[in-house]
Amino acid sequence: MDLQLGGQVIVNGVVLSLMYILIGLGLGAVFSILRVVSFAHGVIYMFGAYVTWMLVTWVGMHYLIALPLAIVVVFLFGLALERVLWHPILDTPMACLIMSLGLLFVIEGGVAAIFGEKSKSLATQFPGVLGVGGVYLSVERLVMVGISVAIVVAVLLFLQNHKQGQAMRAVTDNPEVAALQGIPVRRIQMIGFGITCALAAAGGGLAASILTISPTMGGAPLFKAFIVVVLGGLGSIPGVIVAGFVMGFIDSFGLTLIGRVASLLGFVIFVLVLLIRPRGIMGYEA
Amino acid sequence: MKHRVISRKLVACIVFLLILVLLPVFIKSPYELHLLIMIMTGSIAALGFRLVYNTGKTSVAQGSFVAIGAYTSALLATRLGLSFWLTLPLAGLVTAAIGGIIGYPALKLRGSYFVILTFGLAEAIHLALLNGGNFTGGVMGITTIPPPNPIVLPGLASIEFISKVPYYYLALALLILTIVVMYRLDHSRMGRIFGAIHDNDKLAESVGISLGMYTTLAFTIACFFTGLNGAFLAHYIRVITPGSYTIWHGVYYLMYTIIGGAGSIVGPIIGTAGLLYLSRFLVAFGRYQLMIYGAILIVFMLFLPNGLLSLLGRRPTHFPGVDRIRGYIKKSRE
Repeated sequence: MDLQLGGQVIVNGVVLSLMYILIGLGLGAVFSILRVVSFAHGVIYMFGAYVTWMLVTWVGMHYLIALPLAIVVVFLFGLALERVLWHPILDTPMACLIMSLGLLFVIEGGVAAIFGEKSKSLATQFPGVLGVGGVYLSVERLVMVGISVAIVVAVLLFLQNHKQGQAMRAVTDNPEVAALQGIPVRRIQMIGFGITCALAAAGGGLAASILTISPTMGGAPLFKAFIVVVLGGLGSIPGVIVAGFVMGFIDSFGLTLIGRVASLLGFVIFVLVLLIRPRGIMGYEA
Repeated sequence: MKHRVISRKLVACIVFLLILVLLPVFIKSPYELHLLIMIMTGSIAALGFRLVYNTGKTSVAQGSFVAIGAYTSALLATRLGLSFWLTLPLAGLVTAAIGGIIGYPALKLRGSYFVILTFGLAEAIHLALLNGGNFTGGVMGITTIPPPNPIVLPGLASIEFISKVPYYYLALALLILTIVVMYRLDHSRMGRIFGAIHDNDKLAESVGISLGMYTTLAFTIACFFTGLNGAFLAHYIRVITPGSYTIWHGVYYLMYTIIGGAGSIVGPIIGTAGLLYLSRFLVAFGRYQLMIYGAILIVFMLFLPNGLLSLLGRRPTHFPGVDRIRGYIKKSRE
């Protein structure tokens, strides 16, 4: 592999990693906040992509306005979902998990019914290619990297410094103790779930600009997000970020060096981590 | 008194069995027969799922084990030219072996972790079949699967697998075999051990039950029947591709079981029959079919998490609606 190709692969790895981190953060947060695994995260991502697509194509908004708007829409959607579906059965995690499978069918079927099964794509939003030393990166991807880094940093700052974010961390640590401190656990859980949906929607909205979108587009990222979350350790944010980069680079290099079979590589790592060290790189004991 | 209850159950079983045996005499439509066959095969896989579920593990990879059974049988039949009657049990054994090998380390994972692992496993099996090159036939799969060899009864008749009727009886035989084994398991010491693990695995371990051994055993048995089912399907449909049985089939089996009720053997069968018959009416809804399925699953998880059969239960639930329906059922019985 020569230097040019190497540089290209690294750049692609960064783009992929950020995507995985965005989705993985949300999926991991669902587990930390509600203590349940959600299979519906992939369709929320897909839903976010479709809302963005709809706002740009049907309403005719500029992409940079449509994306935040889509994130807000999906955030509100997430609040409603948590209240109506998750909350009543939160004390039985397995029921939540199975319910999320049902939700997956409903949203995927709904989007397919409204928009059709055919894949769609947005026209290039930010044309142009940037070349530095033989490594090419479309401006579109650059914008995407910028936005996702901004979102991840915003989420980290929110959790670190904002009062609601601190309350959220308290709830993840121990809901009962948090309740004793006067933190409204139910409301924090609802907002937290909304934020995870918003993160998924951000991932989807960004994907809509560089990939084609289809009702089944959520499957592969969901799988990757599971790998990232498990590798990083369920419930650990730094873990997700590290694991996101690991997976992004494995996929980017694997795809270039050994081809399609590389997608199995992620799975092998996933299984090994689950079997040898189920709490991942930085997670805590479940 | 107890004796009478059992014999009444037995009579009901025999009557039901007779109806099933005689059904092809009255139902001539191949479409109806096909639906019945799919219900029976679906029930076998759902019963396998139930066995694993009742040891406290939820697997969404059961559809992929159907694929393993189907591919095993199809490969043995097309490459080595083995008879279906040999490849059928072999497919069961191979699937059980793979299930056991994967299950032993995997089943150590608790709760959600195991579900995530089976999710990944299903995806990996799909990828492996897709990228298997000439061995698995890649995207195209295996298309030249022969029908089961005719059963020759010397001097009497030879049963050829041309119409749906022999397939119907074969599926029925496999289903009965599965039910008998599952029933014996449920009412044996092992069944009670499975129940103990389901209720509280740590407590079960503390009284000397080897979790690893028993959960692996349940998983292996489930995979055996799932593999048999796969082999049957391969030779019934006669085409198998990587997309035939994916994670979504695993989710369907989960749905059949959960909606019917995992508490009893009848539950998964009722769930399978109910949902597959429903799908016949939902055909009219076309694209909305999947949505309706999902909505049903959500409604069940919210209001009837233990399935349809829990309507017959006695213990009060959190849901006034469910208790009211139970009241009606009780009244109508009196």
